[in-house]
Amino acid sequence: MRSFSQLLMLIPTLILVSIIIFFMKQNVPQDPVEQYADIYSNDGRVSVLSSKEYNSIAYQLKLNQPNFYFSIRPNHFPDSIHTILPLQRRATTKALLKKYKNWHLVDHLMQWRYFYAEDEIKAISLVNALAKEINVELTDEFNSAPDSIKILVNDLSSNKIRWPIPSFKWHGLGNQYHHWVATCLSNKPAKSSVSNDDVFSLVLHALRWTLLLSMMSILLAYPLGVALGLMFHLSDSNIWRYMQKLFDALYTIPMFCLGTLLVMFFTTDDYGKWTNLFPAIHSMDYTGTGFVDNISNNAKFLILPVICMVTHYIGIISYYMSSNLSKELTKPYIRTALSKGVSRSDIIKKHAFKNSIFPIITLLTGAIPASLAGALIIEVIFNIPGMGKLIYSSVRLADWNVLFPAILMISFATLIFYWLADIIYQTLDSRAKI
Amino acid sequence: MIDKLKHKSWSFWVLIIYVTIALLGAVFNVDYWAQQTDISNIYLAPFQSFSHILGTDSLGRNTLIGILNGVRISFLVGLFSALGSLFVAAGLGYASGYLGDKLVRISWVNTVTILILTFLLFFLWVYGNQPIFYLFLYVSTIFILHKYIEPRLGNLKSIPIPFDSIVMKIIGIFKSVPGMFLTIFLFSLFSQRSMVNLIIVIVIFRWPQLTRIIRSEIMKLKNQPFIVSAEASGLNQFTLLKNHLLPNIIEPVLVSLIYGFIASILIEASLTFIGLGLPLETVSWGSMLSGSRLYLPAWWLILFPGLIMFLIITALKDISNKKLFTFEY
Repeated sequence: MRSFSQLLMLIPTLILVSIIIFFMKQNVPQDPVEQYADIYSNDGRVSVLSSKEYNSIAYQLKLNQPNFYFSIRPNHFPDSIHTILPLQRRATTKALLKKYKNWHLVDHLMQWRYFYAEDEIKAISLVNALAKEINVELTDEFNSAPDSIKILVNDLSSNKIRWPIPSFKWHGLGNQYHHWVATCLSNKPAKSSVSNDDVFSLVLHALRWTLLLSMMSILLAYPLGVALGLMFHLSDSNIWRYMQKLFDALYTIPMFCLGTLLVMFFTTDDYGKWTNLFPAIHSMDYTGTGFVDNISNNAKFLILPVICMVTHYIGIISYYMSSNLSKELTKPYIRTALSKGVSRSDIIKKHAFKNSIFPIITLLTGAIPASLAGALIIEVIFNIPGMGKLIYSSVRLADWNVLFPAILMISFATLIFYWLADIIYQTLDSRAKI
Repeated sequence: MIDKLKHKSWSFWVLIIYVTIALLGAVFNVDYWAQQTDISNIYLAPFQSFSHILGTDSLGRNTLIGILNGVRISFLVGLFSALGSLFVAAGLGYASGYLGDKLVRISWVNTVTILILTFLLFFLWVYGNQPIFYLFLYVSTIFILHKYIEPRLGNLKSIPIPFDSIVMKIIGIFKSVPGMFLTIFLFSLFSQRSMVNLIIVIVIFRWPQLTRIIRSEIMKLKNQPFIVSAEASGLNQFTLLKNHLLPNIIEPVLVSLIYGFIASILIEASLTFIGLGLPLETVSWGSMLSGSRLYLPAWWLILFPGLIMFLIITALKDISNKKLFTFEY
C-alpha cells in the first residue's frame, strides 16, 4: 500500500520534470523553424525561407500557440502576442514592450521597421536610436520618420507606465506544452532533424545496447566485487593486500583515462604485435538484420568496454564490502555469538555477511537506474551506439528534437526504476520498511 | 591543523605543490604559453629535445606546459565548484535538516503576503526594468511586515513551513536526470562555453548530494542532548549554529567537499575529453587526452596527464581518508 502511494507521489514529480525540460527547450538559441526547414529541403542547401513558407512550417510546429495552459503577463501585453511570427520578431516585440510598456508605441515601431524593409539598415538604426532613449533628440534620422511615429514618440515619452500589472489568462488545451508532451508520449513521435528517424525508435535502439553493456558489467562486477571484498577482509596473506591496493588504484584512475589507455595499447600494432589483441574500434558494423545479428557481429568490440567498466566497479564494491564487514564484526551480537562458541566462519556465513551486503544492494539499486543512461564516456570512447552516444551526438549536432524527448523519456524511466528499486530493497530488508 | 598534516603525510606536500603551480600558472598566464604552436615539431616524442621535454601534440604544443595549464584549470574549476555547491548546500541543508517540516511556524497572514510578494518579485524581475530596486523593496516590505505590522494584528493562526519536503522534492527532480546527461544537457544550453558557465553547471549538478550529506549530519545531531539543552536554555540560533552545530559537522562536510573537488575535476576533464566542455583552443588534461585518440602512437599525450591526474586524485583521497582534519575549539 505504501509503495502504491509512493507511485502516486511520482506523478507531480514527473509533471514538474516535463515542465522544466519543456521550458528549457523553448529557450534554446536556434530557431526551430529553420532547423525543420533544413531537414526537409532535400538538396542540402541552406536556403532563405520566404515568410509564407516560414509561417506554414511554424503553424505545423504549433509555434503560433501559447506556451502553457495559462499565462501571467503584464496587462499592457496584447492577448495575441504568442501569434507573432517569426520568432525573432516576437522576441524583439517583447523586449520593446518590456522597455516602453505601451503596446501602441511598440506596434508602430515594429510596423515601421517592416515598412522600411527595403532600406533595412536605416530602419534598424532608427529603431535602435529609439530604443536607446525614448525622448531622442530630433536628429536627421528621426526627422525622416513618418509623422505618426513622431507624434506618438513625443506623446509617450511624457507618460510612460512605470509598473507592469499582472493579468491572468487561461488558454486551454491548445498550447505548445500539451502538444509536445502528447507527441513525446504518442505513437507518432517527433523526428530527428539529422537522420529523419523518429525519436522513440532511436531511443529504443540505443537503450538495447546500453542495457546489454551495463547489465553485462553489473552481472560480472557485483559477484566479483563481493568475493574480492570478502577475500580482502578474511585473508592475511600479502598478495591479497597488494591486490586491494591495485584495485583501489584502478578505481582512482579516471574511467576515460583507463578506456583510452586500453584502446591505445590493445587495438593497434604500434606497441608490438602481441598487444594487438582486439579489433580497431572504428571498424564496427551494424549492417546485420536484427539486434542479435548485430551483437554477434560485434561481440568482440564489447570486451574492452566491459573490462573497463568492471575494473572500475570492482574497486568500489570490494572496498565497500570489506569495510562493511569489518564494521559489522565489531557489533555486540557478533561478540555474543563468539562467546557462545560459534565458530568464526559460521558467524561470517550466517550473520555478518548477510547484514553487510545490504549497503551493496543499495549501491545496486542506484546502479540499475543509472545504467539506463549508460556510461556516456565509455560509449563515446568505444564507439558503442548506446544512450550516451545518442545524447552525445545530438548535443554535438544541436539536434534538439532528439535531445529533449530522449531526456524526458530517460528521466521518466529513471524515476520509475528508483521506485521499483525501493520496493525490491524493502522486500529484501525488512528493517527498511519502518 | 597544518602541523599534524605536515608530519603525517606525503599527500600534503603534493597538494601544496599542486596549489602553488595552479597559482603561479594564473600569475604567469600559462594559458597563453600552452596555446603556442610549433608546426615543425608535431608529435615529438618525449625526452628528445630539451625545449619540448615531454613531447608535443598534433599542433606542436608543449605537453609539459599543457599539463601545467591543466593543473590551473582543474584547480579553479574544482575549488569554485566546491565552494559554490557548499554555498548552496549549507543554506538548504540547514533549512531542511534543522528547521525540518514543523519547526518554523509563521502566521497565515505572513505566509500569504510572502507568497504574493515573491510572485510579484519574480514577475517584476521578468517584466520590469530595475530588478535590484525590486529586490530591495521585497526584502524591506517583508521586514516591515514581520517587525511592525504582524505583532499588532493579535494572535493569528500559524502554519508550519515544510522546508524539508520542499528541498527533498527539488532534489528528487534533480535525481531523475542521470548525472552526466544533466551536465552535458545544461552546458549545451549555454551560448558560451566558458569556465564560469562550466562551474555553474557543475554546481547545479553537485549541490543535491552535498545538501543531503549536510542534512543527514544535522539530523543526527538535532536530537542529541547537548543541542536540546542548548535550545532549552534559550541559546540564540546563530550561536547554536556557530558553537555547536558547525564544529560537529565540519569534518564529514570537508571530506565530502574534497570528494566534490575530485568529482568536479573529473567532470571537467571528461567533458573536455569528449569535446563538449571547454572551448577547443584551451589546452587542458581532457583536451590532451582526446588529442591522443586521433593519433594512437602518441602515448605521452595520455600517460603524463593521466599520471598527474592520478597523483592529485590519490593525494586528495589520502587527505580525506586519513581524517587529518582535527578542529579543536
